[in-house]
Amino acid sequence: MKAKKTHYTSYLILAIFGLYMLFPFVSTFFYATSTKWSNTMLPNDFTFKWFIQLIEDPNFAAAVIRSFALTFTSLAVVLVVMVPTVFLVYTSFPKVDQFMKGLVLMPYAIPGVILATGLLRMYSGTVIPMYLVLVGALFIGSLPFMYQGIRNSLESIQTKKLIEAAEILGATRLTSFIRIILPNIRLGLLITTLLIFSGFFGEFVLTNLLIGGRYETIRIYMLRRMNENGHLASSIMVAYFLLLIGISLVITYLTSPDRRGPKKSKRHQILGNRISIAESVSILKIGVKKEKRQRI
Amino acid sequence: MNFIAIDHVSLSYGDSKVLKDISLTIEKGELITLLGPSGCGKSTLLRVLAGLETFQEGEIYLDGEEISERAPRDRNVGMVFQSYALFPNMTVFENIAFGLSVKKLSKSVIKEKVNAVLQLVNLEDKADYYPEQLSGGQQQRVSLARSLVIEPKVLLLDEPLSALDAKIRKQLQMDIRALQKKLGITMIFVTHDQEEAMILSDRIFVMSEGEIVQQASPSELYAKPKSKFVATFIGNYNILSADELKQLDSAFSPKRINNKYAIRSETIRLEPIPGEEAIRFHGKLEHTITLGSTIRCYYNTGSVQLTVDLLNRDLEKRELDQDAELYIHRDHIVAIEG
Repeated sequence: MKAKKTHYTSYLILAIFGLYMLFPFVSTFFYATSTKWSNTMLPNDFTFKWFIQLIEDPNFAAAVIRSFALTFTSLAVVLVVMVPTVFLVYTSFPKVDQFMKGLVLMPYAIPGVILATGLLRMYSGTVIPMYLVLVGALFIGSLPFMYQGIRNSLESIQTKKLIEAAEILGATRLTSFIRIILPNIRLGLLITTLLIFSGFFGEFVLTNLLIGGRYETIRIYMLRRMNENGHLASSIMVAYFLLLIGISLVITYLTSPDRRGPKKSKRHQILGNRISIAESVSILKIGVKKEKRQRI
Repeated sequence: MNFIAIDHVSLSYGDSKVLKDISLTIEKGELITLLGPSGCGKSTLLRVLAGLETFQEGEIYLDGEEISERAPRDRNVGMVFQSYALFPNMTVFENIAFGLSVKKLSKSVIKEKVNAVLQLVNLEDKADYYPEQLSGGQQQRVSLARSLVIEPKVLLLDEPLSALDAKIRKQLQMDIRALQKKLGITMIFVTHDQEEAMILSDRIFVMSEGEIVQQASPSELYAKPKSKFVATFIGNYNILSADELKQLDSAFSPKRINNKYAIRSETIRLEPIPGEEAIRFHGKLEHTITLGSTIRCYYNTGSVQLTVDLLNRDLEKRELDQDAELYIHRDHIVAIEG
């Protein structure tokens, strides 16, 4: 029997990478669960009092709710506008697609502070609420991820071929989009959405400059409390990480391929009532026969 | 009236002419093949018929109606793609039922029709599987079933077997031909494989550079290619100029100066051919390749090198560097366009 080769180097690299990724989180967790940690290797004590204090603070809950509200509003706008748009551009306007691929990178060229300043000059004092301006700015900021993410998903499922097959079978473009394309890009869409969710949820520069203290989101709340107490700020950070990890796990579970096997249901079972080949042919020729009758 | 008529259809992408004034007719219940090398326009012509490509000139008629301007969904054609194009989020049953469900047929009718077609393609036990759980051959059969169940007037098959291995391909060739005969459906099959075209077709349309260069039954096409392109594409022909042929046959007199002459490799024999129309000449065996049931021999006659296919027997007749007497009947020398 062939001995299984052990890849020690691979494990070592993986372990170093794991430590590198986990170290900040574990350190933050220790800091969030201690009252003093300054000149020792490990904290002097262990406590959940910062977490309890956090949960008991009504401003924290309000900040979380505001962050969720802002994130979901922005995400809803992004998804509703971008998914059909990218689909249409990808399937029907290949030249626009080439242009869009360059255009969506533009947000990278404008630093957040300059963008916020420009938006303030443009919209402050107008009838347009700054909340909507913020949603619009977040929308623009998400374009690089959203456009490329949706586009890659469309490309990976051979969208054009699927649409052609569906149209030849009698479906409209809308039916094909809803019944075939959307379910098949679900995974890619969820991953992109998660990426943007994290970005929106943790967004600070634009929110702080455009709305600031009038609409205290979790990151603005964090900044305020960090100035008061570092341990408390760490506990917010840990809670924030755990929330994102929780969302990632849910999405990973929902999109796991193991959840899709052959259906166990008997709804299409036909072995019990087999039909002959001749019957199959006659059933398929129903249309042909009708047509002949009409001609007669 | 012809069941399908393509009338002077031309299509260009910018300056590049992909289809050049194509005209052809197909009768109901026929299986015809569009055969040609990559880039000759055969798949584009099929897509034009399906309504997936817009063409600039010409008209297309299906069952007496002009369909040139109709959307793909209004043409009542079925199409099988090389890449299967099955819907990954749907089971085999749902894939096949899709075309019927968008027509808003009742659930019981859909179930009856899908079950019938599943039986027809021998996939009854795979109804609840997803496409990714099936082999390539099974996926293509689902694709075939999905196209058949909507009872199209014509079924278009765009190199449906190219991605499959040889054994499954041969089996599916037989299955497709049997189904076509059983259902009496009109089929247009696109392939670059001349053997596949021969096996399947009632008629073959050979295409080159956006044009149909010859159309004929498989046997006629094989025996009487019109051009050097068809001769080299469809079979293993020896192409000779008039001068080269005169070296083999002193009595030969060319009919036209531009003509070339094609001789099928299996018509050259080592045994004498009776009658006055037989030509005899000498050649030295330079090289052989075993193809299985046949041996391909390369003879040098001094003026020309000839490929000769012999049955894989009579070992003593195939010794290298030996001079041999070769025979051809004049009827097997086909004049072709240069």
